[in-house]
Amino acid sequence: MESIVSVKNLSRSFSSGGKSLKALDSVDLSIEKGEIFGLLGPNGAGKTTLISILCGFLIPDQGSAKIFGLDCRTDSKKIAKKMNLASGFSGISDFFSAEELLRFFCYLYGLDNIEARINNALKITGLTEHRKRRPADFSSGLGRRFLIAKAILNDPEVLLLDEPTVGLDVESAVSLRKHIKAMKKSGTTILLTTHNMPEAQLLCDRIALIKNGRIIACGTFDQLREQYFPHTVLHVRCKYPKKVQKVLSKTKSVVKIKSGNGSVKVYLDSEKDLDGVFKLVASSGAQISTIDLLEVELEELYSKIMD
Amino acid sequence: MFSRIKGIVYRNILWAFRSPFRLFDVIFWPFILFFMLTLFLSSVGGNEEFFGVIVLSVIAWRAIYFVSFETTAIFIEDHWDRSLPNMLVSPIRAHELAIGGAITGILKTIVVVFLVLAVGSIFYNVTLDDPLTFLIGVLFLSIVGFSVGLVHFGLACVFDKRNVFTLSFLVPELVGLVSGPYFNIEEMFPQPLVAFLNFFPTTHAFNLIKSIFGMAEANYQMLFITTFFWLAIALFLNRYMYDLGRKKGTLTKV
Repeated sequence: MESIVSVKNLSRSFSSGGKSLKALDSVDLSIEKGEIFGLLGPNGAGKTTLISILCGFLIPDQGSAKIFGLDCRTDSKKIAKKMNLASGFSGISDFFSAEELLRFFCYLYGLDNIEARINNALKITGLTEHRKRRPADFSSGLGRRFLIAKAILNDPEVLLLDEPTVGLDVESAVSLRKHIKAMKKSGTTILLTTHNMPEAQLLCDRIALIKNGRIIACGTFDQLREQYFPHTVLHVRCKYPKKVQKVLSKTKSVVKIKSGNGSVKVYLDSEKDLDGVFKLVASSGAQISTIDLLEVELEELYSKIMD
Repeated sequence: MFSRIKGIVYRNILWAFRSPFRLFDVIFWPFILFFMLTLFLSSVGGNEEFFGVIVLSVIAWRAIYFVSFETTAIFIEDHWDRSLPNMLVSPIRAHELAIGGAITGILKTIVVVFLVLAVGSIFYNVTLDDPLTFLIGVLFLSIVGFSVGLVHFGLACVFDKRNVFTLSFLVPELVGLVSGPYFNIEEMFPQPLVAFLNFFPTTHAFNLIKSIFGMAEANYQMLFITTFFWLAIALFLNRYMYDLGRKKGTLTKV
């Protein structure tokens, strides 16, 4: 696969209160054409610093950031023609209607067929009926959709989405995710930062976890699960959890057992011995009501890796 | 490049009609300054020629202010709206943003030229006898305004934008005032200051306008040299501070 975004040994520090803080520390990553790449991490981890460097707003202390093979430091305006940004925290100028602002951005990108592009962007984001209204008066959901409309005006090959669904109601967030998926289908490469783990799990092909300016894990969800959470987890609801614990205490494949109020979580090192474990649990006399095979969620994985 | 500059002018024109503050800047404040001076002059019995100088100097003075302010304003106001990243992530370059602002300032000046001349003609029978010389003066003052705006724009990339916004009101007025818009600096200021002010293109631009009424001598050579000398410095400072802003991380925040 072709690498569209390539970051090598990227570092950037800021001074604060007389101290130097490393916002990015030797970051390496590459994003392939047409993938949705999730960048996850706590506040202050370095996500926004990385986006600022990719946009050309900030110059790194060392290392390189390239998009389409062009250096973000020196060629940011060439890159800009084929890239766009939608930041959930960005504001919208007052005084102008949605279509006036979109026309303004079309001029900034030097685009042709301006009216058709505006109509298309408004249609895709479901804002056609709001075109004469001022985005500054929009609800937060409509406002985010407007920023997406702005971001797709130039049919970007690379789209940076910085927490695009922050503060959105469920309906708006679902609708926005649909747009994001549709953009991926049309070949757009997307870098997504979010604190919303289910969203990242749903949308992203690959995920990088960043902490204190360093990428501490990177890969597909399955790869990360394989690497950091290799257990199969069985969740048993029953009347006598201790009986389950007792029958499984000598089973080799069982790594850990956690028992709580009316339930037991059994951690297995693989799925191979699942049948045997099922049989033992069934014969334990614990009066079982349900047995589920638990899927590890990204949120759990994230917490484990971050810890 | 032209499309991007057109975008800035398009938005600024819409802005001027939507925001009372911006509209008052053109239709209200120039007349406050104008009547402040002319009413005082009437009360002390000033001659007709002097009214002409005041009318033209008010217009010319506004040219510095409008062009300088508009060159800086869009950058700072977009920062306050938190929409600056949306603009800077586009292919627009800093100098295109500044040129778009400067053109808006020139358009505002043209409106003020017509309005102030009309009012001057109605109230004080002022006529524009040498429009070409006057327009050359206004053009050079606009270039000075652009230079001042470029420096403010650069400062806003690095320093607190609120303070730079205050400067963008203050500096054009100060530069206009000390350059002798309707008086001769030789008669008002001590010689060392006069020598210093002769390095200001505004001094020579106002002299050019005053020369229409025989109040000063035009020095085209100094006007040309000082204007483009300051413009070159301003372009360099703008570029340097824009890059410094990118290095320090003060340009904008996502």
